[in-house]
Amino acid sequence: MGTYVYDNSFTGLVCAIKAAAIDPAAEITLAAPCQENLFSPAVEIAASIAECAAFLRKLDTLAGPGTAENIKLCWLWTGPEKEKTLLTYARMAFSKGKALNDLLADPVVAKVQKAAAAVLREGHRFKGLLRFTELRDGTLYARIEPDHNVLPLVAAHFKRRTAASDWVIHDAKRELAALYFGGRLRLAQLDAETRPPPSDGEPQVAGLWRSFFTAVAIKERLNPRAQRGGVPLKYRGNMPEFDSDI
Amino acid sequence: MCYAICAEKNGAMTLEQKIAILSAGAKYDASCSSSGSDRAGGNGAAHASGICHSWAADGRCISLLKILMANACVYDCAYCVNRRSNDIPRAELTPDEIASLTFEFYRRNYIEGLFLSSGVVVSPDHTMELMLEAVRKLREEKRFTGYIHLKVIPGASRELIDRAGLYADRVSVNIELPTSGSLARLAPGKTKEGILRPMSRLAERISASRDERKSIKNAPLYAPGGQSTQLIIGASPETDLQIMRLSEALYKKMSLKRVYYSAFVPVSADSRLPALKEPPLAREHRLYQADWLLRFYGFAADELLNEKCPCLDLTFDPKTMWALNNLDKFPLEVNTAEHLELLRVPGIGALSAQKILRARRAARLNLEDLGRLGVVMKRAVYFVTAGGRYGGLKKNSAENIKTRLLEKKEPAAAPQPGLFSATAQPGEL
Repeated sequence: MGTYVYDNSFTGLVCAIKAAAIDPAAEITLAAPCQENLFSPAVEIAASIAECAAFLRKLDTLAGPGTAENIKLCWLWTGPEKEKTLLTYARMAFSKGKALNDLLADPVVAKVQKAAAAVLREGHRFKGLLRFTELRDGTLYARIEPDHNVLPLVAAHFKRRTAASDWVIHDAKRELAALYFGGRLRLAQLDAETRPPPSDGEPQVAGLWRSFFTAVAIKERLNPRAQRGGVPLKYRGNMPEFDSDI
Repeated sequence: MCYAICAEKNGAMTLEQKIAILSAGAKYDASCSSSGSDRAGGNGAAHASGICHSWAADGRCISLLKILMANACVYDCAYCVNRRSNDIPRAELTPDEIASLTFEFYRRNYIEGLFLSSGVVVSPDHTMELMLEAVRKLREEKRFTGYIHLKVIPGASRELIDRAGLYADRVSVNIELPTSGSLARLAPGKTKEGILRPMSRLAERISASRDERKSIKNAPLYAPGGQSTQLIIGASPETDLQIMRLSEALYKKMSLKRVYYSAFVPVSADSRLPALKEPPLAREHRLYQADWLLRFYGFAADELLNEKCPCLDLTFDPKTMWALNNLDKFPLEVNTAEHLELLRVPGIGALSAQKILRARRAARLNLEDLGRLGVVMKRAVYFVTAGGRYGGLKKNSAENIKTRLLEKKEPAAAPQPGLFSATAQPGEL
């Protein structure tokens, strides 16, 4: 019995799950608020890339392909009891084997799959809703504030789509950024206050876009509810077509 | 003559005004899909499942810069806002303007690509040449590898029609009116043959190119996203049965990817048109549902409608109506039913049918499990059993079920986005 503490990285989490999976009463907590519990001393887990990869392969072998992918997607999910759910899911890979991902009615499996689907859904959404502005040096800059940590998924998409320009995608909620310069993609910290100024021609292009956006709606069919279904209000702050100040 | 005057005025307009006029002229085209193509290697990449970039105030998704080359037109079709006799401002964009606008919008991720249509300026050939020049510039000069949907102008020469598919991911010719009688009445100057000829030519080229690419990998792409068309709903007296039979034939014989339905928005007080207070949106919605049943659920048009009852019910969706008319086939045991049978149950969609097949391999399903698999039990409960248990009504008649469904009908919620919300929208795929 014990509490396994990890360093808040994906690799660390997988290593902690591996250590805890054989300990039936274990819990996993984040490294940051590392409070000593008198009754269950915390075990700090070192993140090892090789160990993480090997364990994920093992889960796929045990419970079928897609298991490791579910864990990766769930890691990007924001919601309660993430670590606990993933630990139970990993343990079930050992006890249920290949049947695991077909247990769609099991609460833990259903939660993992719903979380993975939510992450994929929001990631897909941002492939469309993300807006770049051109900066003075020609770099494209986009600010996003997603519910889940979809930046890795979104960055992978734009690496293919916008390969010819340099760009920055800034998750202002998590103070993270994907930086793509000279064909190389990396993740970095970037505080929420950073708002680089746009190029001089930018307001004009955004203005043309707004004029298209307004003209293309059919007034006889106004449907704000369907519009909110497509673009919830929470995402509109970073989209020029919903910017009413200009 | 009108065209010459308008071209003169055109010079004084700002780009912003031109965009406003030309996208307002294009907005009645329902197609917005950016799916079915996977292109990359230049500036941009088309995404096979399509991506919605925004939603306009009318709740329709925006995926492409939907715009006309010009809104002047030599035709005078009663239903069309751009008809010759309509007194509206006219504008025209150059191929260069179209290409740069698309490129700049695409770079900022406003759009997935271009949807280019046009009024018929001077002649079908002249119009088609202008449009082809715009997309050629985009593909060759800008090295654009995003999505292009190109309208083909009926009456353009075969050589020009053939070129369309070389640049476009999807091509389309709009039928607009479902019968030649209505065409003759509302669209003088257009004939059924004139519309179907370019359509079947495109179908021929698309399928030839698919075959060729099976053996020669580097053979050029030809409209890899296929062909679509549009029908206007409510401008002419055709029944839903006639419309669904036409769609069925188009899917089977012309291998169309999509038929779009556009509720007629009264754009003029022409005496040849019905007096509609507002566009028949509920009917349009039901037609999309029925269309889905044809393409993904194995239904035939004649199962959904017949001569006695040729119109889709507006209160209940077409699958529910079919099930109520075929109660002898229900209830269905979810643990043993075949895939195609499951698809016919109201409340079970393509995704939940898949999930049922998967889940029942691992464990026997009971009624409580079905909700977790995405089945809408509010509707399905009258039509299924699970492990022999039935949760529906004691006296199961179509009337009783209808009453219960109406009682439980809450104010329609916004459509639930699917796993990839793009494909769950009526305008997609």
